Amino acid sequence: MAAPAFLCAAVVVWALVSFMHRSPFVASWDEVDFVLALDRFDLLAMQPHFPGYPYFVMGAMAAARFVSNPPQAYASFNIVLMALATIPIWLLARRRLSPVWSALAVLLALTAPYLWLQTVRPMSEAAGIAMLWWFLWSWWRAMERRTLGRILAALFLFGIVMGIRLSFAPFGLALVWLLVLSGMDWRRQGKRLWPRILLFGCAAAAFQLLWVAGLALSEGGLSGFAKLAAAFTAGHFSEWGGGVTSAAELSFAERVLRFAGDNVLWTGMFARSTALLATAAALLLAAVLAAGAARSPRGSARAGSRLARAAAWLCRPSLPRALAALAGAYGAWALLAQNIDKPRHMTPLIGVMWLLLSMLCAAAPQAAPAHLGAASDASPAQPGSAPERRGARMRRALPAAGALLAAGMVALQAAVGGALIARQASELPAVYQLEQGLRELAKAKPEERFVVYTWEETRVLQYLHSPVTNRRIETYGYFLSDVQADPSATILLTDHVLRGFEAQVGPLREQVQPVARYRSDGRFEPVYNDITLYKWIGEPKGATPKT
Amino acid sequence: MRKMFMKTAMLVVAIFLVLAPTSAWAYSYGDANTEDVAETFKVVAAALSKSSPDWKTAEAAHKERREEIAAHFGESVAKTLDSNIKARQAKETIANYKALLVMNLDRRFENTLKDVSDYTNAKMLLAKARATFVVLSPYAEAKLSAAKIQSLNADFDTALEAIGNPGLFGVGQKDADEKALKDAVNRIYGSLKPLFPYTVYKAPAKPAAGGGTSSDKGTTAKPPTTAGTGNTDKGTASKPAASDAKPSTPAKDAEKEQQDDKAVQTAPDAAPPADAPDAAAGDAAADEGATDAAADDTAAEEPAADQPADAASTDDQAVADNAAADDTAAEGEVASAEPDTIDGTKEHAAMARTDKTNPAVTVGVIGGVAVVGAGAVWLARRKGFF
Repeated sequence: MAAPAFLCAAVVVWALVSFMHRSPFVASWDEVDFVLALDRFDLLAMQPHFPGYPYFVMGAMAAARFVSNPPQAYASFNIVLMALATIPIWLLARRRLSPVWSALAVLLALTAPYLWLQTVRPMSEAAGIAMLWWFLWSWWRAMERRTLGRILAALFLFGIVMGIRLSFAPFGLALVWLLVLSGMDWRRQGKRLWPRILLFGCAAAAFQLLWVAGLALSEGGLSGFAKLAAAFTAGHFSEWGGGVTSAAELSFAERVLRFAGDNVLWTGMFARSTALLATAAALLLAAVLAAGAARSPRGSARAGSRLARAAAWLCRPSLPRALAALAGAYGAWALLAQNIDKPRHMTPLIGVMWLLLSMLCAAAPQAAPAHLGAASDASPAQPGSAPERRGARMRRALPAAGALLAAGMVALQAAVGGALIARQASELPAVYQLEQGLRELAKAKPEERFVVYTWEETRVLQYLHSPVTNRRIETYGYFLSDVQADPSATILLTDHVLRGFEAQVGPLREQVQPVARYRSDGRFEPVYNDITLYKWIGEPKGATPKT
Repeated sequence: MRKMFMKTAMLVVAIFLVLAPTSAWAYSYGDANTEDVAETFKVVAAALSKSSPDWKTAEAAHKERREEIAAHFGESVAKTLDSNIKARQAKETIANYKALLVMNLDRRFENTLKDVSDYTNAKMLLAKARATFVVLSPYAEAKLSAAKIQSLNADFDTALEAIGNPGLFGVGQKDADEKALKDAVNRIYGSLKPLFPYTVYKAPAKPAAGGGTSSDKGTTAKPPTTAGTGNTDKGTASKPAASDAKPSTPAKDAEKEQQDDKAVQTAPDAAPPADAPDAAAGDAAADEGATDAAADDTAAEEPAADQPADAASTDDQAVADNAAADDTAAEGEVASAEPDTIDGTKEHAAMARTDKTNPAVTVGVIGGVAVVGAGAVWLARRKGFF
């Protein structure tokens, strides 16, 4: 009973610390989208951007009644959902782990620094992940006993997840899996198959329709929404957000390496902290040893072709592997289809990986596979001769050592994560610094008219009501004609713009002159954490533009 | 054997992984807030403002948009742009395209006012108007004060607020305010229209003299609202009045928007003497400094060139009578494409707006598909495919 009580206390502390360090900044394009949506929900004006995230915005609208600062309203909603999500994590963990290990797994997932950083920002990842845990738990419940109520609960929760973050759609494979198993059940029971499959599909669609309909009504009707969706999804495949950054030049191998190495492990799991990396490595070692010790001879005893075994497993999956399969599906999707510059896309994997690692770590010696739930009290079956007994003692020691390591990991994560969120809430993001710099520049030289060309920074500058005219630009030719349109203005541009131009027309360093550089932490702002402001001098003299 | 196969497969996969380009896989959402005419203008302006104008690109871009231009702003506008491009007049082409964008503002605003009950449509039209404005803004910024630009942006926000909002699940619902919308769009339109005049193309009868400035200023097609087809000969006489309005407007812009609207509307009726434009331009230049001089650079730099007596008479002599009649007709068309105020009553070509979806047909099609699908499943079951 001690473990749940301790866990509750820890979660409350976690929530309090998070509340104290909610980020007051709105430092990226997507965040501005969300924050503006509180004022006026307008998909066309990209507040929020497509596909709308309606439940998330709704939740934040509710939170905004108590929290006046818009980004902090979002963060508060995230924190509440995340704290509540410990319940499904606990329930899932308890299916395999002892209470102590379950509490450790929950805390490992909750204090993961990178996820924590996302939780206290106005982004939808944390809320989506929180609901994802509820969905995974309800799904597993339905997999265990496929009754109508459990299936409907899973379908409903998936609708909620999709209404918060559509990009978690690959987890919907879980529902296909559930449908196939249910179909086999129905067949075995001699029930009529098709009406049931139809009903399943209709129920799933109906729960999705809830949020789609809400969105459609916010756009004034279904036909308008369809028009809008067509406008947003047609074309523009890599111009926007994704392809324009460095990701465009990555080969697939580099992409995999960057995704697995940097996004998932170095940034996502360890938040670029060597201490965390080292502890996690030790924990992984313990897990591998424990799993090795736990491996019973029955592993090799299985016969049959690989395909048959896979099919048999699909019919009776084990929880860790089922979770791993789903996480793998999402990981593949995040790798292939999401913007690799933004590690936040892999955050759903963090918690799942910690849960899996805990299960591996606490794997009980499988002498008595009957009671899976209790790992710590499972003892080696027959105390035999001396070396055997020593082996048994070691096997018993391993989980204890693993638990200690995991506790240390939790403490370390809490320390690193807590420090990070405190810094995130107090350090001015680079884009904010840019805005201040421009403001000062405009004030220092009131006689000059400044125009600054940016990429996505524009959205933040406009949110901050920058007094300096700013424009988003990607095409060099348009830039030149804009410059000529207003020859008396002083033209400034950011390094992203410059690099984009250089990719189009070759080196341009001769035509610019650095003015200032603004930096913040890359863990807080993945793309725009290092902004250099340049002044455009233009063509070397002699080639003055002809009018 | 199997191992061999596995190894080969892995090798193939590895080669694929290393070599396959992946940029196309990054998915993202597009931007619905773009306006085709404005995008075309960007291409044209970028191509023509190079040190050696790229006429091929400009022409291709224009050709692609020509149909829409002709449908919405009249064949004569399209023809003028054709001729500008054919005559390789970079400056005139860009200037007329800017005027085209102003006409496009009118088109979008008109239809917004008309469609204010259809929230989605009104909003999309406003977004397109705003996209048009965004493209024009570098040029507008050179002519207007920063405060004025900001107030224009604020007017766009006001207009957006004024079309109402159904809210998210009903939260944040708001009704439309047609009057506020009309005021806001008229403020925007009234401020921008005088900055970007439209020029009817004149056959280069005197290419040396009339190449740039005389045709630019002397024939500015800004007839007062009364200028009908009957006014054939006086058509040119009324033009100085319109060009008079231009230099004075920016001066007042900085002060008050309401008066500014009136200035645009009333100035043509005043019909001041022929030398008034110069005086006004001089005043404006003296008062406002560089910005306003830029606003009317032709008037300020070459005051003599745009004497209506000169330009109009030479033009009228050079061009035959029927050509002059053509001009007036064209001006009438332009006047309807570029009116002084927007009240949401004008008939625009409805091409891009017609809603071709008939709900009954949609429901019918969906129902039909469902019925056919169910029938197929039923049949398949009977045949024992499942």
